[in-house]
Parts: sequence; structure tokens; C-alpha cells
Amino acid sequence: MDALSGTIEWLTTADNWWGPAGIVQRIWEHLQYSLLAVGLAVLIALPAGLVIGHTGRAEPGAFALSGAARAVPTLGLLVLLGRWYPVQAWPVVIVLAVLAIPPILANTTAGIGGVDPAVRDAAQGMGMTPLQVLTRVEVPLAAPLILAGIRSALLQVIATATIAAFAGLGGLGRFIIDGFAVSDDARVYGGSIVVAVLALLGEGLFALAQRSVRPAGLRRRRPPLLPVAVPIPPTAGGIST
Amino acid sequence: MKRTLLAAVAVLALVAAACGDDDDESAPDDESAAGDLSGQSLTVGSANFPESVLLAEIYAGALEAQGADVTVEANIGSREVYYPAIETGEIDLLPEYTNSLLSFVLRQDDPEATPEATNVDEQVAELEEVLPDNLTVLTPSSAEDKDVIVCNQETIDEHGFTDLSGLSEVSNEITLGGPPEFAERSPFGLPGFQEFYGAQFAEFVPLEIGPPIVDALNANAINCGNLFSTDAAITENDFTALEDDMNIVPNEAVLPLISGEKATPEVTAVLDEVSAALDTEGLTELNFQVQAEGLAESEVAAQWLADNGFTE
Amino acid sequence: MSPVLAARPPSWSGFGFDGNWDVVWHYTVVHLRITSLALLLGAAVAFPLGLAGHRWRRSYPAILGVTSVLYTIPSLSLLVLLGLGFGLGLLNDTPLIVALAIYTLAILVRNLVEGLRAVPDSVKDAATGVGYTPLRSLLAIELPLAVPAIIAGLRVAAVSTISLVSIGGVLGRGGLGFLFFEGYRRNRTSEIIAGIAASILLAVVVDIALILTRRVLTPWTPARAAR
Repeated sequence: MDALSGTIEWLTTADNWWGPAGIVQRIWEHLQYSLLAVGLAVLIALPAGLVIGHTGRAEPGAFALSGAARAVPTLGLLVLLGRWYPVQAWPVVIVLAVLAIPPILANTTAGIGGVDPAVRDAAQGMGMTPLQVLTRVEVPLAAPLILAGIRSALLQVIATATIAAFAGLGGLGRFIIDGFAVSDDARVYGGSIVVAVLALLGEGLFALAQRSVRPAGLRRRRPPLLPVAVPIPPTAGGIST
Repeated sequence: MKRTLLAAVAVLALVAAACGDDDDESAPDDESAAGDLSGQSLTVGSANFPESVLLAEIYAGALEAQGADVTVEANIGSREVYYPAIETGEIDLLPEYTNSLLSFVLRQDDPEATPEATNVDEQVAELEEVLPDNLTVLTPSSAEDKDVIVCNQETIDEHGFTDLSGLSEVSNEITLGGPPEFAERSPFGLPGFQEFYGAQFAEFVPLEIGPPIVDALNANAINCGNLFSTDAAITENDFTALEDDMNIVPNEAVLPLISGEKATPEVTAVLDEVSAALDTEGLTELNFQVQAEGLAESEVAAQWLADNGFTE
Repeated sequence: MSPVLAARPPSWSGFGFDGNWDVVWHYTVVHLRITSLALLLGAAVAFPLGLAGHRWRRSYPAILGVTSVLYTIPSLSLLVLLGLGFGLGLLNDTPLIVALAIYTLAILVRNLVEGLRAVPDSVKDAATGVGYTPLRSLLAIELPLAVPAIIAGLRVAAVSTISLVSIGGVLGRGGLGFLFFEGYRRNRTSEIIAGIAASILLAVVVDIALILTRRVLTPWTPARAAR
């Protein structure tokens, strides 16, 4: 297949990797947008999820909000913000953060909220303050699910950060948009492969992180974590909850 | 298979037209002498910018008024996307521009090729040479829509240039906006600017021609940008269109690109009349109605067709 | 106007919202159509994959892995790949529908398998005890109990798909996405806003419809899960 050999050639040409418009530079830009967005989302959704999950109030609201945020068409929002603030990076970061919030909020809320009440009672019985219950018991137990949420968010954001190119900015989307504009299929496919690899690397790193934070007591073959009636928060990739 | 069917329909239509004069098949609003197009069907495509959609709607409306069965596929994309579609017969007719089309077709075989033509007639002749056998272009209009570099008031105030040479002298302080293709095009593109004007821009921001570039100019996110000369936004926003003193911007006359099979004498006559009725000033005015007044292309086209006697 | 001109999709006129609701409606319907076809296609593929992943445990990580990798392919690239690389053409909705269906696989497969796995062993044993074959147990007991998880997955897939359909706007298609790009290119902010609002509204409506479907299909489940 012509496109395949062209793509391999594009990926293996050193010139394409270095320089102000090279793959490395674009990867760096792409990561900046992605990490800033996920960071912002964590800053917003993690505390919210912890509080809502712990107090049990507004839990349906949290899930509803996640659902609503998921409904926002990312590209549409970017186009809108791009009209008012052309060629700036922060609209991209905000739009990607909106994309990242739902999985983090939903997973954190469900993770904290899904902790067995008996365990919570036991902790309170031992004299822990609510904050201690949260930090010493609930968070460690919910950690894998919380991490799974952040992981899912990161995956989506990395795959979607290509839209920055529509706003005239950088990132790996540049190869896709520009390549498409000049019919350079090798570039489109090459850029896509780099994005996919980047996303998978992120996934891999997270999988390792998830394994390492599971409390020792839960490291055997796990039973289902949540009762079936609660919507299972979506997480992508190999499951290790 | 589809092609044979279309060819058969075309032949039948021609035969019907030839020996069917006494059959009353003409469309009720048959005003021009172009003849009856009933039985002929065409798919008209367009690129993804308003003027192209406008022209496509005008072609379509004029043909339809003569009884043809017309489908419009607007906003297909850039030439790289829609050209294969007309090559393979997915579309039959497109509004095109002499130089852009010529450059594009030449580059299909040789990525480094540039047109030899220096005026519209030569462009048409060269086109007929290099187009595939199944495609042809019809008589060009006097209406032209060339690429132009415009700069916002702040930039002009600061540097004071009025033409592309002046721009090139300070290019290392200029952020330029243009479509992604601009980065790789010559002569009208970054490589071309470097070669002919010795210009190296501080930054190039890829943005679609039209409102995205206009927004960026207004926000001073870019100093200068690539727009089209018939764009209403230039006067609306007080941009200065730079003079092309080195003539790197070639003629871009509007003309129909059509599949040979579909270019029946009747169709050709209708499209020739449309091309004759269009001019640059008129086209700019039509653009203004779509862009500044926000009317739909189909509406503006319909009005133009009525005003110019193509429809009732 | 001739009948053919009248049959074309309505065009946005002017800079405001007035008189353009028919345009929004038209593209909403197109959007819904693309979404439904994508979900149906995705579900049709995810269902056997999920059953396989449940039945043959060893295959599950591999299946999840593949669907995850597919999920990471940027949408525009997948569209170009399907349209030009696989020759589906770019002047129709098929590449978009197929691409969207591929993206739903990750979540649909996962939720189906997790849903089936969550059925308590005691229930499955009881079914066997009563004389159900594995197939009948699956159809009559396990799948119905897995419905909430399946629908949960469908909800997420539906909402995400609705959000993703608009990428087709790059090629002049994509339902409400067309309005984003049109509005962007024609200097009509109202058009962009209308597209976004309609898209969100559509997602909310579909989400509610799926929740109601779950309630109808599983009358034994309390409306709110006990904490």
C-alpha cells in the first residue's frame, strides 16, 4: 500500500522530527495543551468529586453534570471561543478541560461514594474524623477508580487535542490538518500514529500507577466493585479496578 | 456502469433535442435561446468558501431554469478534496478559477510544475492540454477573484508599506496568516515569497481564508493575511490590500470545469451566457450580500439569476 | 423557485436566529440519523465481541486492548482513512458513521462484559439448577440483569457520539457540525451557538430517552440506586 510506505518514510525522515515545525515540537505543544487541560479538570473535578462522594449530597447532580458536560460538542465550543479570541491557546485548554471533567468527576464521585458503608462505619468507630475517614480510608480504596477516571480523561484529551490546529495553533493536529489540506496522506497518517502512540504511552503509564496504588488488601482477584444499578463510570483500556 | 448509463442519457437527450422540436417539452420559463435541458442531469459541486458556493448555485439555477435535473453538493472542501470527485464522475460541474486549477492539475503529475501561461487565453489553452480527457473548461468570465495579502491598520501605520515588496522588506517582523496550503505553495505561498521577494516571515499562522483570518487581523493576532480580492471584509474592516508589484499573483478568471459528457451544446450555451453576465464588480457585490448582509448563497444566486434574465 | 431548488436543505439567512429554526431542525434530524446508525452499528459489533469476552476470559484483555487503540485514533484521521484509504468516499455520511461506531466499541464492549460479570453466581447457579441451558440462562437471566450496565454504556456512547458527529463539519457534513463550520466561515456567530445548543439539547433528550428505556426494561430495579 502506497500510503503505508509513504507514512513509514515520513516517520523515519529525521528532518521531520526536528525544527520549529517538527514532530518533537508538535508533541511538546500537544502535551502542553493536554496536560494543562487535564490538570485544570483535576483541579475542578477532583475536589468536587471527593466532597460529593463523601457527603453523598448532590450525587445524582454530579452524574447529571458529567453527562451534560459530555454533551458539549468540543469542536463547536472551540470554534465559538475562537471567534472571540482568535489564535490563543487558552480557549483550547478550556474546551479540553470541559472534555476531561466528566470522567474524573463521575469516577471520583462513584469511587468515594461506592466505598462499603461498613468500612466507613468501622473507621468512624475507630475515632477518625470525617476528614481522616476521607483521606485514610475512602481515597485509598477509591484510588484505582479515581485514577481510572483521570486516565480516561487523559486518553480522550490527547486524542482530541488535535483540534487545536483548527484554531491556527500547534500540536499534532497540525500534521493532520495541514497534510489533509495539501493531500499529503503520509503526513495525515503519520501524525495520527504519533497521537495514538502518545495516548497509549499515557495509558501505559497510568496502568502502572493504578497497580501501584491499590491497597495491599485488595490485590487479589477482585469482585465487581459496584452494584449493577449504579451507572458504571466509563473507563477506557484494560481494566484494573 | 454508472458512466455508461450517464452516457446513454446524454445521447438520448441529444437525440431527443435533435428530433424532438415539435414535441412540447420545453420548460415553462424558457426565456433564453439556450434550448431545452430536460432529461439532462448534472451534479454541481463547490469548494468550501462562499463565492464558490454562490457560483455553483448560479450555474445550478441557470441550468435548472432550462429544465435540467440539478443536484448541488456545496462545501465539499478544498480542491484536493473535490477534484478527485469530478475526475471520477461523482460530480459533473464546478466553478473554477483559471490559475488555481491549472497549477493544481499540473502538480498532479509533477509537484514542481508551474503554469507557463501569462494571461487568461493562454491559461485556458494550457488547461485544455493538461486536463484529463473526460474533463473540459468552458469560456471564462471577465470576473476574477485573485488572492491578495491584506494588512490591518495597525500594521500599516507602523510600517507604512503598500505593496508586497514593501511587506517583504520587513517580513521578519510580520506574522502572516493564510490557509494551511499557503505554507507549501509557490509562487503565491511561503516558498514563493522567499524565492521571488526574499521574504521570511516571523511566523505563519494557518487559518482558513475568510472570517477566521479577518478575526485574527482584527485582534492583531496576525499582521497580514491572505484573503480573496472580492471579499467584502476588506473594505468593511479597513484593511489595506497590498499591491502585487512583482506579479506573483496570476489571473484567476472564473470559468466552469465540467465533465465532457455533460458539456452538451445546450449546457455549454447556458453556462457561456452566465459567464458573460458575470463581472468582478458584480461578484464582489454578491459576496457582500452573503458575507456582510448574511443572506444565503442560494437566495443571492436566485436573485441574481432573476435580475439577469435567467429565470422569471 | 423550481421544485428542485426548494428541496435542498434550508440555508441560514441573516445574522440572527429568526427564521432559521427550520435550518436547525433539519440538521438536528440529520445529526440524530448519523448518531443512531453509528450506535446501531457499534452495538451490532460490540455485542458479539462482548459475549466473546465474557465467555472466553482470556480474550477479554485483547479485545479491550484493540478497542482502546482504535479509540485513540484522532477522528479526522480516521475519517480520512475510511474515506480515502478505504474508498468509502467523502461525499457521504458512511465514513463518519463507521468512524463513530468504532469509537463506541471501547465503552460498549466494556460495559456489556462488566454487566454480565456482575450477575451474582448464586443467580446463575439457581438458573442451572432449574434446568436452563447456558444459552437460555444468558438470554433469560444474565442479559436482562446486565441491562442497566448496558444502557449505562449506551448513554455514554450516545452522548459522546453526538458530540463527535460534528467533526464531519470539516468536510461539509456532520449534521449540526455543519452549522459550526458554516457559522465560522460565514461570520455568523448565531449559527455556531444554535448548533452547539441544539447538539447539547439533543444529547440530553437522548440520554433521558435511554434512562426511561432502562426503567421500562428493568421494572424490578428501584429508580434510584440505594447508597
